[in-house]
Order: sequence, then structure tokens, then C-alpha cells
Amino acid sequence: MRTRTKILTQVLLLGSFLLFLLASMGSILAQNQEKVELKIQLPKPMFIGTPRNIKTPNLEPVTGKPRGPFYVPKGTELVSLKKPVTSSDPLPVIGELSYVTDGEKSGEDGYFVELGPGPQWVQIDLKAPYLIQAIVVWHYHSQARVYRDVVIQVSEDKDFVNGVVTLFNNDHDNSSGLGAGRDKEYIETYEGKLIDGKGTKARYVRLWSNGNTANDMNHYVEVEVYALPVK
Amino acid sequence: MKKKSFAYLFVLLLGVALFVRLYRLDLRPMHHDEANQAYKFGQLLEKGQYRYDPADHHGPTLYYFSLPFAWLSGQKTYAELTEGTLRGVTVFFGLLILLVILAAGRYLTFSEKFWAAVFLALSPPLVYFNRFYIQETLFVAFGLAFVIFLWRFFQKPDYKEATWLGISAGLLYATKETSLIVLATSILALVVVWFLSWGRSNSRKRSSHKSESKGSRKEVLAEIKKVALPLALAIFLFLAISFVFYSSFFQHPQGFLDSFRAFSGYGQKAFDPGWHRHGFWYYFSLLFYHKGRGHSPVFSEIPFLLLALVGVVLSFARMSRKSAENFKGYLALFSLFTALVYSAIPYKTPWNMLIFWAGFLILAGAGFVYVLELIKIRQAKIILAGALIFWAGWQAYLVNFYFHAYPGNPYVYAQTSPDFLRLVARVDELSQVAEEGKNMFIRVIAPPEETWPLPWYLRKYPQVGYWTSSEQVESLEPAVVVIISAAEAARRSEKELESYITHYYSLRPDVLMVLLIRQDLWENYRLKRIGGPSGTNGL
Repeated sequence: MRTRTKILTQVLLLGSFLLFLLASMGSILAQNQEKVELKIQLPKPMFIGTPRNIKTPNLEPVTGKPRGPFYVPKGTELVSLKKPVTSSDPLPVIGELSYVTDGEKSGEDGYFVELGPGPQWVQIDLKAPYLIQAIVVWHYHSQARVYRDVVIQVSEDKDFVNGVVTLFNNDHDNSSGLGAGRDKEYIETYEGKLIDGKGTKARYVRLWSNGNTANDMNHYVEVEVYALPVK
Repeated sequence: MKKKSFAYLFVLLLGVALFVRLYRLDLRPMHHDEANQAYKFGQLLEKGQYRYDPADHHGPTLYYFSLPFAWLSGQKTYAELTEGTLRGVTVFFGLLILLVILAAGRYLTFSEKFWAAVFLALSPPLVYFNRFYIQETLFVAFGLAFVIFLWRFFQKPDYKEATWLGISAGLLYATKETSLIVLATSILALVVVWFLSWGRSNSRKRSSHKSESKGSRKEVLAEIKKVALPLALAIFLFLAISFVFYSSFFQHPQGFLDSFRAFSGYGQKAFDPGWHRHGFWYYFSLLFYHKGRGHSPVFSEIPFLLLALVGVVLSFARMSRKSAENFKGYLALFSLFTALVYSAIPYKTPWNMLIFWAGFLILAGAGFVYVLELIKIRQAKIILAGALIFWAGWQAYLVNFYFHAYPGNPYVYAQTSPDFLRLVARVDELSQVAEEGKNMFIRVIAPPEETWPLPWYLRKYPQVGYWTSSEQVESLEPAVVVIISAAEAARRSEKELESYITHYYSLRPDVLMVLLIRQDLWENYRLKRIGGPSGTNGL
């Protein structure tokens, strides 16, 4: 009797485990079926060579190989194209703020906007709340550069006082005063920097930087926001 | 222009030239080459050691002439030296370039000397490299002196002129072995001028005095005897001064012979220059017109190039009329020959053009005097002179004080980025919170071309080790700070780097260095220095 109970218990446990395993696999498969690869149109590479393969805890590896695929929910679309841009420096030194969302990603002269020195931000108004899946930033990619204190925040408040979510922060010493971050510094490349939006609901995207390794100015070639509409 | 007016204006000009050269002398980060020279001088200052290296670094005058500047500043060690003290040496010799014009004496009018001095005092490239601790400023000062004293000696070959000629030649050679180019082009210019002017007048004399040929021969022999002894003195002084410097003041006599052996190495470098290879028109393209990216201003020496052209044409047009005018022809030929030789050599750096550009600027002064003579309206002369001074001053400001390290500046060459000073400042901040203070252990792992100017900026840290490749370093520990080239950083294991925080800094455009800070030191630094609230991704 005792042996039979023992066998029965073992069979039940094994069955439960198999059921759990099947359910989990089903769930993963279902998730993958819903997700599609995010297709980003890349500009022509301008800089070849110097970015080297750096493998450190807070230094982004640069392999010279294309970035791996990034998956987003089906229905995700580019929602930032031609959307209005404001900035902490309303009168850029070079170019216009509209360049940030004009869809042009070339690294040549005439395609980037240059903001003044020190911590500066650009803000994109998506005109409606979205579930943000990915943000791709090209600061300047015709030279090996690292932009300092890059902080990317999203919010439904245009003044970024309430409901601010920080998606990326590599300001390690809090020099921008937004709190010390722990994300890695990275070298600019033609691929841009992709930030996971994590489906955060927001209408406004604000991107900070604080000069770069080549000079004290802040530059943007393009910013793309990929999102799902809020139902 | 009267002598008295010239004297007052010249002194005023010296004051302006001194101010322009001394103002914020530490503004531009130390260049790779400057740091290299500073280290060599540091060895001489601290240990009294100098030994000529035929492979690199050129001659020793820069180091020996730096000694009084360090002593006067009360600096006795390499660590105590400052940019101001070192660059003060080249500023001093920059002023000497202006004073050398006075040696032209009667061969240039006061007006010509004044305008030549104005153009030299405000010349953007000259000011730029007068604030640059390398041999070039001394080379230009001694080179121009040699060119002028060579002319003077052949006009009046006495012992006084021979002494000046020998001293200037000796100092020139002791500054750079490659001065042989200047020695050769100036002698060639002298010979060509002799053929163009003296030759003709001598042939006329010969045809009219055939009967006195025997007497003439005696006169020629007497002339040769008259020249031979002063010339021997000049050669003796040249050899003696060269020997004194290259032998490290008789400590290493071998150095003098090595300076001649160096020719093969420099010859090889001249025609196999690696990434210093530039086209024939490189120097003139820098001077003619240059514009960086974006809203960069225009850098141009066109007004002075045109005036130099006027000076050159005028010098040739007036050849053989007067002895004084022949000097300008000689100077024009020297400048043209030197420009031609330097342009033909594939190895080029912007500072190499200074010797012939200084010659052209003196000719531009003569050309400008001629242009002023053509203009009859006084107000027009004032406006033209004012416009030229304004252009030179504006360009000197842009080149030296605003775009001093900007790659679009034509005279900026492999210059250390201002961003690199942030790395230096961060290391200094870290030393203030480190338990060992300035005695903290710092590793520098980078190939030589990515190491300098770190030995200058880390001169106050006694515990710094330099390795040229990652393979030489088994473990980064126990270094609390590691400065490593991006390529070498990629060779370290991910696990090892986990105990370090990393930041990027620009050494030069497109050359990034990585600063590794050990986690415990960074935590200490963060707590003591940064504080404040942590963000969403707070550390």
C-alpha cells in the first residue's frame, strides 16, 4: 500500500512538472509569435577602424559587427518622424532642431544639429501617448566619439516634473544632476544606440548629453522612437 | 621712417609680440612632441644628464637653453616644471627672431625692417610655434641669423662678421642636424646672386682693365688671404660650438660624430615618412586657405603671400643695382630654394615651413613698403596698413587662443585634445581621495604613440609604470588607476575588468584612451566627491 502511494505521488509530481514545462514552452512560443524583428534603416558607415572591441562592465562592446536583432511587438512603428522637437538650446550653433526627426541619418556635414556646450537636451513630442518599445539615437557618427552623461527619459508630462521614467543613464558621477546612472559609455557608430523602451507609456521623449570626447558641444543626427499606439 | 621713430615703434612692437606669445601660455594641452622634449630636459635638469640621441629628438640647444629659465623659476625637478617655464624658452627665442632683423642693418630700410617685424610679430603660425616647446623656434632664430650674417660676411669679411657667422652656424647646427638644408640653400642663394650681379659687374671691369690683369690677380690673391683667416675663424667657431653642445659639454665626445651619423636616419625618415607623408603643395596649402567643418572660420595668409610675391619680384627686378637690394634678392632666393627643398621632401610637418615662411615675411615687409610708396593718398595708406594688422591680429587670435587645438586649424598637427585634460583632472581628483594620495599605483598600458603626453601630465605621481602592450602585464592589480589604449583594453579579460569602472577620453581625434578606476577607489570617490541622489539606474 505504502509503495503504491509512493509511486502514485511520484507519477503526479512528474506529470505536474511536465505540464508546467509544456505550459512555459507554449507561453514562450506564443510570445515569440507575437514579436517581430525591428527593422531599422541604417545610414552609410562613415567611420571605419578606430572603434575597438572593448569588453568592460560599463563600457559598451564595439565589435565592428552589425548589432544583433532586437524584437518588438507586432504593430510597432516609427512614431517620431517629423514630430516637433524642442531643446534647452533653442538656437542651435549648427543646423536646426528639425534635423533630429527628419529621417536623415547621414554622418556628413549638413545632417546634424549642434547644441551649445554643457548639459543640453532635446525633447520630442510624439503628439499622443504611445507604448514606447525602442529609441535609437545617432549623435554623430563620422568620428570615434563618446558622448558624455547620456540620459534618456520619457514622460507624459511635457515639463518632465511628474511621471518621469529614465530608460538610460550613463552619467556615472551625476554631473548633469539627474542622478548617477550605471549604464555603459559607448562609442558612436553608424548603427546608433538602441535603447529598450520596455513598453513605457509616454508622449514626450527627452535626451540629455553633456559634450563629448572631441569637444564640449552636443550633437544629434537623428532620433527614432518606435512604439505601439495606446488602445 | 626715421631712426628714432623706428626705435620707439620697434620697442612697442616687441611688447606686443611678447604679450601675444605669453598670454595664457598653458592654454593648449601639451603636444606629444613637447612632452617628449620636456622629459628629456627634465633628465638634464634633475640629474645633469644629457646624451645626444642620433635616432630622434634633434640637437641639444633647446635643453641647455632651458636651464636658465628653470633656474630663474626656482624649478629644480621635472615634477616642478610648468608649461609656462618650458614654453617661455621658445617665446624668448621667438622675440629673438624679431631682433635678428636688426642685424640686416643697412641692407633693409627702417620701414622695411619695421613692417617685416610687424608681420613676424603677428604671424599666426609663428606665434603658434613660438608657444610650442620644440626646437623649431630656436631653429628659425639661428637660421635667419645665419642667413643674414652669411650675407654680411661676404660683404665685409672681417673677424667681427666671421665671429657672428660662426656662432650662428654653430647654434643652428646644434639645434637641428637637418640644418644642413639651410646651410646649403643659403650658400646656393649667395652663389646665384653672385652670378647674377657681381659676376656681370666683374666681367665689365675685366674688359675695361685688361692691361691691369696681372695686378688684378695679385689683388684677388690678397682678397683670398683677407677672407681665408676670418673664414677659418667662422668654421672653427661653427665646429667648436657644435662640438660643445653635441658632446654634452665634453662629457660624451661621441655625440658630435653621432650628429653626422644621424643624417642617414633622418634621410630615411624624410623619404619614408609613414603618415607624415604630404604632397608637394602641402605647406602653401596650409598658408593659402584652410577651412574646417561646419561654422569654422577661414584661416588664410593670402595677404602676406601676395606681399611676399611683390617682395620677391621687386628683389629680382632691382637685382644688381645696389648692394642693399641684392640682399633682398639673396633672401628671396634662399626662401624659394628652402621652400622648394622642404616641399620636395615627402616628410612634412607644419612647423618645418617656418624657416622659409619667416624669410618670405621679411620680403612681404619690403613688398608692403613698395606698395605704400605707390599709394599717394595718406588715408588710403592708413586704411590698408590697419586692415593688414587687423587681419594678422584676428588670424593670430583664432589660431592661438580660440582654435588652438581644433583639427580645422591648419597648424594643429597630431595635437592632444583638450578632452585629455579631463582625464588628467579626474586622475588628480582620484588621488585626493585615494589612501596613498599621489603615491597611488598607476599603470599606463599603451604603445608609445598613445603614451605621450602622459609622462608629462603624470610627472607628479611617483608610482607610475609604463607598459607598451597588454602582454607585458599579467594582472592589472594592484593598480588602482589604469590608463590604457582602447586596443590594449580589448585584450584584457572581461573578468579582470569587472573590478574597474571605465571612462573614455580623447587623446587625439579618433584616438580614444580608457581610464580604468578600481571599484573601491571609485566608491570612495563617489561618496566623498559626488554624493547626491541616485537616478533610476543609480549606482
